[in-house]
Amino acid sequence: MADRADLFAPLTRALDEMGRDLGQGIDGAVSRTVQGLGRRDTAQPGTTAGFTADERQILDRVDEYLSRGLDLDRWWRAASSPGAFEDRFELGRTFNEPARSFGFYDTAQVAGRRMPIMGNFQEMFYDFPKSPRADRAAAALWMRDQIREFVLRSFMRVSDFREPEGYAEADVAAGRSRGGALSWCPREDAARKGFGFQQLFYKLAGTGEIGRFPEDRRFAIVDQREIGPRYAWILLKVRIFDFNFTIRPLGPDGPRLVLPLQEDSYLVVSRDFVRDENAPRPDLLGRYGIGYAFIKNPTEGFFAFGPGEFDAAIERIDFEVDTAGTTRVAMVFVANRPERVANLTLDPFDWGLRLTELMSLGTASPVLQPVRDLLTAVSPFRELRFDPVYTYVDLANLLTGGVAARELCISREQLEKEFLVKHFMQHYQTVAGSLATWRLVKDWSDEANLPDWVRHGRSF
Amino acid sequence: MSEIVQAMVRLPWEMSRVSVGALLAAMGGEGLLSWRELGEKLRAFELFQGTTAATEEELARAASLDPWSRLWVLEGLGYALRAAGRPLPQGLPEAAAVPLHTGMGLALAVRAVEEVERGRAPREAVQTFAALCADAARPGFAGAAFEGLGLAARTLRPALVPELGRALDGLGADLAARFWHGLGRGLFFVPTNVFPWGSPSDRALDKARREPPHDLGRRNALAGLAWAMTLVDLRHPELLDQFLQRHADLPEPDAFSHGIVSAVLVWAGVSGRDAILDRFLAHRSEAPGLWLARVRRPSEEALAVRLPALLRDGRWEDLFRIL
Repeated sequence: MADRADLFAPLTRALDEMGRDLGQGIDGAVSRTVQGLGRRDTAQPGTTAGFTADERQILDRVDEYLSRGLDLDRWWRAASSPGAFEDRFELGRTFNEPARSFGFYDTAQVAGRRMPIMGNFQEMFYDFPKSPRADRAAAALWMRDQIREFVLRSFMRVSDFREPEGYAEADVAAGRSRGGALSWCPREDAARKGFGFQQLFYKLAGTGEIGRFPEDRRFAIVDQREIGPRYAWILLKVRIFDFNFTIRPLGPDGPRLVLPLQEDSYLVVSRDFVRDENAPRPDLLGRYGIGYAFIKNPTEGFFAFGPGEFDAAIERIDFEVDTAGTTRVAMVFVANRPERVANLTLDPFDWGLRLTELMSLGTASPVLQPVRDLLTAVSPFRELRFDPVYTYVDLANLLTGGVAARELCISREQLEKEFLVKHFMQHYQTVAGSLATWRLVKDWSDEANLPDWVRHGRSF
Repeated sequence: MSEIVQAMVRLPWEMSRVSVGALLAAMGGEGLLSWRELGEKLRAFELFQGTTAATEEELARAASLDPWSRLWVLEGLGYALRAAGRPLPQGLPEAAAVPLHTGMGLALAVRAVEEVERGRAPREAVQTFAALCADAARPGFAGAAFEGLGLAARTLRPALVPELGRALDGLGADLAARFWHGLGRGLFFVPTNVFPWGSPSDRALDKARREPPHDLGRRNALAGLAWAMTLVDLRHPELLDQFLQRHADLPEPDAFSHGIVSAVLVWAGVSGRDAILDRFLAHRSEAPGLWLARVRRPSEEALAVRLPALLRDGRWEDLFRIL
């Protein structure tokens, strides 16, 4: 007869391990709760260096997502010259303007692992100097200098713009109607397009000190040439206006689901993303550009992909001036391929907390966060999530044996390509919109005489 | 809102300490010792957690406190400064360097651990963390800052400890040793080893023996546990004495003594050979031979030989691991 101790040894070991795991789980959950409750206000009297818990959550992510962005940037620099990608496809069409654009899928080494990525590249004509034949060389150099000042000092201040609006005069002045939603009177809402950047924090290059930009300088994005010498990095917030993602489950003529991806996204700019090159090639007088890495939001929302939800993503916008002064702009966006589009949690504890936050209009968030941390550790439902979008796609293809993807374009790839098209159009609009601003100012190097709205970063 | 939350945190800590004090007066024997140790842990944590990044004010406050309280305030200052993204002050007092660096390292370690939790490759995170410690620390202190990784991992994300340990095993014995030393230090403070029923220090010792996967880890975990126990209980040597008597047959006595001696040296570096240290070393144990062998003799030797070398060369990071 087997020794009774031998019979119970596996059970004892299993119980020991359960006990150890439970004990460690309690240690972690309680420690994180205590840490969250006791998170200190680090404001030093007389300075502006105090950060809230939410701000620290973002700042704590800068190094990690900057590192991932630089990995993507290195990949792009290596891949873009030969132009060889695992998959390359046409993306977007423009008419009347010479342009080159394509989308791509590939794999890049990011954060020490192989990451499936996607992106788009587009190049378009921007401007050229119009001058007498005898002055063309001087005009080209003038163009180079102007583009340099425009791109590196002012572009990020004026990259959002307001579309011209037509309206018919009404008996009631716009904005004075009292009918609310029932009123047909014209409103004064501005329809904004493009990218609205705000600078929030910086890290000084010398001391490493992290600070906050004053409120009145939020939109006056620093001259990008200061990044490196003065700032190790700057952290920005961007809102991509009019970025709606549309899903048509029953085809182009059927009902559609519009997901307004209006969430602000945090970005970080370091020296590697700033291009300030004179005569980088024999055929170019200069290449000047901006770029940034995206930072993933620390709190999970409904959307699992899109601005603020990338595991790694970069954007670069480079202006090239050739020897004739002709200026072209090249834009590239690279991001991880999504694993989910939407993030519906099936955790009733999480629903309860979200409802409480909603009812308290968000004021309960600082107190609820440690409770959320504790429940995240112990809730048996914490890993249960549901993506209704991809679930629909996968189910449609499962039931039709892949016909949905082949014949009806109901596939993950199609969604990804639609996202890239949306992104492509946003950048196209941003650059096209900036052209009016570019042409409005006679001399971008005359900083003292730039319009106020350019110097302060508020578009008209 | 943050002031309300801060007050909500401080109030229960204060109430806990007062309650513990009241209970101590009513109890006796071993239960008394466990509650006394709890009181010391709570006070140490309260001092650490309540320190802000206001350097001048906090250094002035630390200077006005008793030496034991000063230690935790300085560590808290190092933590707060780094958490605010600010470097340690230039020209900081020599005596404050060790706790400032351990606090700074802990703040960096918390960030590194959370990055791994969010999906960053452990090896990459650890390498970045090591580079940040080396960059931010004075020469001779980077290793002291790095040691906080084990403490941060074991307290906040225990499930990541094996993964981090494996990543460190590939980066060299020095870093791996420091990690497990920090883990041992953390075992003294984790919630399941804080509450004074069933001898929390014994539970911590059991985990220090069981959790590391190899001898290097076990030795360093024991040393780290001893380090924390000694500094927290320095004003009450009977706590350490009773623990040593319960575990007279400790399998790695030299590792445990290494931790005790390291803590004594740090104390001497911060506060000098003062009355608290003298009282600690001169404690009259019920097992005098054991106290002499494990605590007093190695400490006196180290104070005579090693402390001058540390004060001269500044390699305080050597106290934070055993190779």
